[in-house]
Amino acid sequence: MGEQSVRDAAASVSADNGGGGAQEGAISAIGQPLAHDSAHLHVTGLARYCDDVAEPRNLLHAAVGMSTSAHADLVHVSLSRVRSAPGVVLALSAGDIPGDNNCGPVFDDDPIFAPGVVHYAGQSIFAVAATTVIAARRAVHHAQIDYRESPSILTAREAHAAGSYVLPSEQLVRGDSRAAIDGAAHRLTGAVTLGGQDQFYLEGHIAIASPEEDGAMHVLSST
Amino acid sequence: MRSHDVDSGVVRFVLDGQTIEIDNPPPTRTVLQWLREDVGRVGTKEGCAEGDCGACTVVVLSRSDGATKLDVQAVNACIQFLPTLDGKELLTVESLRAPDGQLHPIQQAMVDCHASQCGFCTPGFVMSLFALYKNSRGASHQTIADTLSGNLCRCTGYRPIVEAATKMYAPKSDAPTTDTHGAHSSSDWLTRFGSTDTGATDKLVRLTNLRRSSSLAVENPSGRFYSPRALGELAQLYFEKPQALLLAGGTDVGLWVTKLAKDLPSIIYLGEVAELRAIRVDANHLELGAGVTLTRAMEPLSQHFPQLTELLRRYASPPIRNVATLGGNIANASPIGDSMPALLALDAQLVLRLDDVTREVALDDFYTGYQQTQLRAGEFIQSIRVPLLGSHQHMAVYKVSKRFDQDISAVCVAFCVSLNNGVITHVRLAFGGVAAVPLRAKKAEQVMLGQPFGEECIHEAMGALRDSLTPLSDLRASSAYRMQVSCNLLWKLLLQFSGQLDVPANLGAGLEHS
Repeated sequence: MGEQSVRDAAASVSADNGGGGAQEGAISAIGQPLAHDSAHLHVTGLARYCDDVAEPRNLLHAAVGMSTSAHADLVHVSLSRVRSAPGVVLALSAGDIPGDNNCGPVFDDDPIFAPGVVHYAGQSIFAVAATTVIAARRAVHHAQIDYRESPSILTAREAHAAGSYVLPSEQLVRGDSRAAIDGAAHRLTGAVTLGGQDQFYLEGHIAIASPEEDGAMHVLSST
Repeated sequence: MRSHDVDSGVVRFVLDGQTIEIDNPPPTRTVLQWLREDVGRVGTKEGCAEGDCGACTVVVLSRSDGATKLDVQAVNACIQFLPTLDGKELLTVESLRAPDGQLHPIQQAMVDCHASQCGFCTPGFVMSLFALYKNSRGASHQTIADTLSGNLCRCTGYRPIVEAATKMYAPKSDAPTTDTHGAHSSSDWLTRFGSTDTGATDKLVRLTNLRRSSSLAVENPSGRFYSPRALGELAQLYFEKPQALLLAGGTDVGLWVTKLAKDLPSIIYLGEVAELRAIRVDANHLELGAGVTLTRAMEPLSQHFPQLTELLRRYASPPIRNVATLGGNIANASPIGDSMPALLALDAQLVLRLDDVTREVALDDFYTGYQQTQLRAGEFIQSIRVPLLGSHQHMAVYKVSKRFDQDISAVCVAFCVSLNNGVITHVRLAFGGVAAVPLRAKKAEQVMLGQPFGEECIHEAMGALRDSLTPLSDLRASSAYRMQVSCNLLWKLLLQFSGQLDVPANLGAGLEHS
């Protein structure tokens, strides 16, 4: 749409509405400080989050058993004492997954439960479902896990020195940077280190799975 | 023997004009759990369950000592045990909304200033700022920042929230609201200033009527909770039940339950013992009852020891300071308790009480090992006596932590030095975070005593520090960092007292680098 026709459209909308009021049309919203759609729900505590939903009856609560080693083979994992802990209904690990043990959104590299080797401290090894949150969290500590530790690479510099990359390196090139630098009147050298950042909103990750008819599963999840 | 009324185990408090009665609840059930799980008030959120993020912030109203006014304080509901609400009024974010739907000025300001994005932290910010609103008629940028040091937001970057806080005192008359403007409603007290208006008086009367005829004694299969109302009653009770856990603010004990899943079968709560909140000053001492909260301690401590002002401002956060006590900080015996280095440098004395006998112990002698104290079974800290500074005494306190506000110290130091013609006649070097207990570096002190205060004695003291301190490495700092910083802070002391705080070129001379 050319600028002339946008103005004509605004004028005609304005004329239709008598030239004023809250319904002047989409054009008049530009540049206006509109409140967030949910602002009034945020400030009053009326906005609903996943954990605010009333719990279904007989809800079980899950807790995840996580690796305490940054890099290790799981020589032995025994969940027998987890299963016999008070309130526990079920404990699952990699061998219990009937389908694909992967939840990576892009690459096939994110196991749901560690398949015999862990690559970071905190990686999930098993999950336990119990009748209360506390029972599940306490049961986790009864797992018996033998780790055979391996060296771990914890910084980008160590990884580069070891030639160990998460993904193949890429170069984005335009022009001849070498020649430009060599021909520059002034050359400065330095190093910048930047920690990785992810947006991390305050709401805890939570999901509620409810079985439905014919083996269907309804999952309510925070996003 | 105490007489028990039929309802001695009933926890009673006010919520939205209603008196809530809970018959012998599990003593370690938190206010947050009760709100969200028992009564379905889900506006208050769980973000961390350890008193850091502020998503759980609620406001508690209580009768001040002397019953002359209402104290209005933000607290973290996630680590607040339910029985501690007895005799008080609880306000949650749901309480702010008028029956006609009109938003409170802080809520309206946050809408107008775009101070929310995902909205999860928002109820907590609203309640922290509501407490500020009720306690002041205006606030500087710095005051707002300090007020909000216990509230985390990941989405907005804080600027619009701070803007909303400046605007809440002057609501726009034509600001849009979610519902029509109504006549004055029962939310009047919530919006008006001051604590002497009719609404506050009504609340004070209601809380006065809640006063118990006998001390709260909750008995539940999961544990017992006692709340004595006088010092003598406390001393006798603890003498009879020395295995009980003393609870003041609960800002660490709360986490024993929420994070460590500990059972606490017997709790004696100190919050109703007014004598423990006494503050006295005489010619030579400031004496603070062990139950004085950090919030109340800030004024007398800053007045007599201005050098403590920044440490106190950075001590945890307002919701924590509103309930945490000096006695609790000392008795908890953490190596990183932030009150202890300063109190050690000031030669503080503790008045301990066992049954009806008191004794005085220097804080310097109080710790016998990692989280071990001199307290005998049934003995508790009654008060802390701090000698006032003489005019010849100079003090400096430095807290080093990754985050400026509300963070556990990597290293926290307090230095006290007296000079006579430039010669050191008295010296105290106290450190936290660098050994199993907060301590004085006595070898370094001895090296400095009698020396002219200058580079040479500071360098010698740095060398002696390496013999005294045994820092560990943890997620906050490595042991090498802690050692280096401890030495550097001695240098900072020198710079401060010689009137300059430039970074010297050769600071590293003679010190190890790693």
